[in-house]
Amino acid sequence: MSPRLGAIAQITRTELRRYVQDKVALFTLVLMPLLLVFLIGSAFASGPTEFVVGVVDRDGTAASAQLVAALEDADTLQTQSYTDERELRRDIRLSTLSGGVLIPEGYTSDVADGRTVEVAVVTTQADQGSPAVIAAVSGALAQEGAVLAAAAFVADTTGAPPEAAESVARAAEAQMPTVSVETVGTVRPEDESQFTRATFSQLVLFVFLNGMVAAAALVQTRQLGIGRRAMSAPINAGTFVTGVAGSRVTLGLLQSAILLLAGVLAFGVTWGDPAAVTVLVLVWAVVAAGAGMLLGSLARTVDQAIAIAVPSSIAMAMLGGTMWPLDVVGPAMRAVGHLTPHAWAMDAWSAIVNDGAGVAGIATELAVLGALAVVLLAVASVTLRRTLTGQR
Amino acid sequence: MATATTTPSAPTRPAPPRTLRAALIIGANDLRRRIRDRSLLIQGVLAPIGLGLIVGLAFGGGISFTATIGVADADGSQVAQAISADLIAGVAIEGETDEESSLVFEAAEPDDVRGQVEQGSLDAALVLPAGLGEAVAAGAPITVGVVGHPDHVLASSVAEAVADSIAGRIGASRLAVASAVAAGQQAGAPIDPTEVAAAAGEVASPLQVAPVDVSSSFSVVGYFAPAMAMLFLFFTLGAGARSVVTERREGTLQRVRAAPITGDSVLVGKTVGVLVQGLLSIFTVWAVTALVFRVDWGDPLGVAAVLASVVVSIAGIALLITGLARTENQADGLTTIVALALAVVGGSFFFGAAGAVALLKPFTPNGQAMIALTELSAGEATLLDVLPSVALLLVIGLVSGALGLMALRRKVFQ
Repeated sequence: MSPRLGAIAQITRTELRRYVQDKVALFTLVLMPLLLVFLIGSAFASGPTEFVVGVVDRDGTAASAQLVAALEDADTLQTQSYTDERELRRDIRLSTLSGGVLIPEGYTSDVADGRTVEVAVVTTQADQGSPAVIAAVSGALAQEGAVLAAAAFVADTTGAPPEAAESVARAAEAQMPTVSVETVGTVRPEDESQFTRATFSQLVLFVFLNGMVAAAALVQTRQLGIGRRAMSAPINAGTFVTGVAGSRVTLGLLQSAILLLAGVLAFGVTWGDPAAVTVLVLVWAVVAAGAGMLLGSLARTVDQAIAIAVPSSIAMAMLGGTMWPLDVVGPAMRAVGHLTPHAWAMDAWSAIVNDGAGVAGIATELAVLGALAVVLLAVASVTLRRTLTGQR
Repeated sequence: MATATTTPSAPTRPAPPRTLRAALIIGANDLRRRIRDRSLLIQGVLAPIGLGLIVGLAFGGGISFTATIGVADADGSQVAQAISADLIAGVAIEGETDEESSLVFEAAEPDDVRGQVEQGSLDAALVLPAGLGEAVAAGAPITVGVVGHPDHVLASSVAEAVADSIAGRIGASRLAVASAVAAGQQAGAPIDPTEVAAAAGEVASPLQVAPVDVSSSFSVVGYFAPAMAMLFLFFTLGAGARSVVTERREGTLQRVRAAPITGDSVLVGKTVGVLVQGLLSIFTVWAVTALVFRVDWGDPLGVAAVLASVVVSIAGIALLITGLARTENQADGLTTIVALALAVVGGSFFFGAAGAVALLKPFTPNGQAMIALTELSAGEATLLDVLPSVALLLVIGLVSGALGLMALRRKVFQ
């Protein structure tokens, strides 16, 4: 090993040790992202399977009870009886209920007279699950509505009395084979882990966040004069900066490896093409390291470094689609999102995991991220060299 | 700033005015430093409003999206043709109308539909299976197919919802035919299913779904700006609390103590500084969102009480973390962990996450505050209604703060 390489390796080791000795920092590195993957994965896993819906039955008849039973029978719904509409609305606002159904007074007589009855489905626009709740309730209502419509049809065509017509329709309904909806296409099979997206989102978020927060340590290095002292040894600034970069990239890789591995072992995630995953993880670690080093060279105090690092990382994570998929936002926000490196990384991950893309399949994303990594590292090296050696 | 406006309150103590004055000067000095290096401005004001705006821009008008959904008719019967014609003509689908969204249906070739979704020329597709028309008359099982793509999760779920409503429509026609046939048999006057099928195709459910929104006044910015402000309070106030340890390491604390200033007045000063920073931050967020973005937070007295008490609560936790941590780096790391964990559990990042996470929300200080703020902004609560939350937040803050200060006193001054 040449003396220069040896020096770089030594600086990398020292910087790493400074970090790893701190048990809490290690905890942030290892356990925090795992905890979040678990929390987010389970929050969204339990979402679509069962919605708890409050029901206010103002009619209180056998027919309205029939409707409540139809709601309860739906696979994705669980009902809870309410007497007070205000209470129902409050629980929906506070998201302890996913939605509510209001059965109006006069429901039975309106149906009997052949009038259309409006059944209110109460949700909040603040809840992203609301469209699914409305769809589920609509489905259950459609089923009960079909029985009522068939009863009316029977009464019309055969002249049978309403009660008899309804019992015929219900009996027919019980024997009716289902009209099912089947996903026949390329949508991810149901047995695939719901933690997949949660895991790579958290990887993108946390590797970048930790890279940025590492700026604080760099400010401290400067304040303590470590850089200047290193300069007194026979190594140049370039060597020192490369050593620092090496330690940051190593940390990013370590964190990525932990998350990828945990994804496989704990959450049953299958990652795609190993080469594509490796290249993407490496490029992302360099982007994060470069961004953190640039911030570390510009921030004046540790407080300032953290004050910028955390919010900007979270903002970019939001814009870049790690907290919600970018296809739920408008085209303008999607375009703005692609001003962050996060969106490109997320696109690449999605291509690898969902479309089975290899290195060639994510070439555009890698080119964008790679170019950014080079620019960030180059600028950070210049500014760091200046600040570390004390030339302002 | 903090001059002699204070009056002696406890004459039995040695030189109380000076102690209090020293504390206030220390607090004011901390505040000045945080304002000067702009970290309070960035983290306490700009970041929460900025992040609130990002979420607001992303979801301000509800979830908006545009999607093209293919309709592949592999059956060609009258029933199937009527369904696909209705979809393509844009006959509204129940529960799926959203002014911000534009949903386009177009006819697609059954053989090619999967490829088109994979290529992305269609976001999702519906497949009406061969034999659908016959199954309606015969009362046989029917499966409506959906083709989706993981890159277009929302379009896929919309396609599924549309498929469900088509299934409902087909099911209703089929049930009407079967019921009529059964009734005919019972009455001894057999009915030919093919004869009534056309009329049965027209049956309509008497039940209509009317979606109602409980939070017409809900503002995404109004929810996420305070939620983010609370997240960053942990960092701002954590940094404030940590400065005691930093100053000891740098030796400024020893220099201060060389003057006739007690350790307690240093701690009181630091605490006051931390509290004022927190109040400045969160009340500025309130003012800016209310004045610039017209967010209605609800009863001002209630809002003020909740905001002040959540600052006390978070300041207490920040002091406790600093008191327990062994090094400054440890204090930073612990703050990040606690802040992010509470943010996730307390609903700062997502609204309405179902399951276990939603149940834990009231047990976090930020979650408790967000519940109170949500009720206030909905106009369903006033100061009186949120008093229990306020009391709880104050208790959390005072207990953890007292423990934290005790630990800090032992650590820094002994």
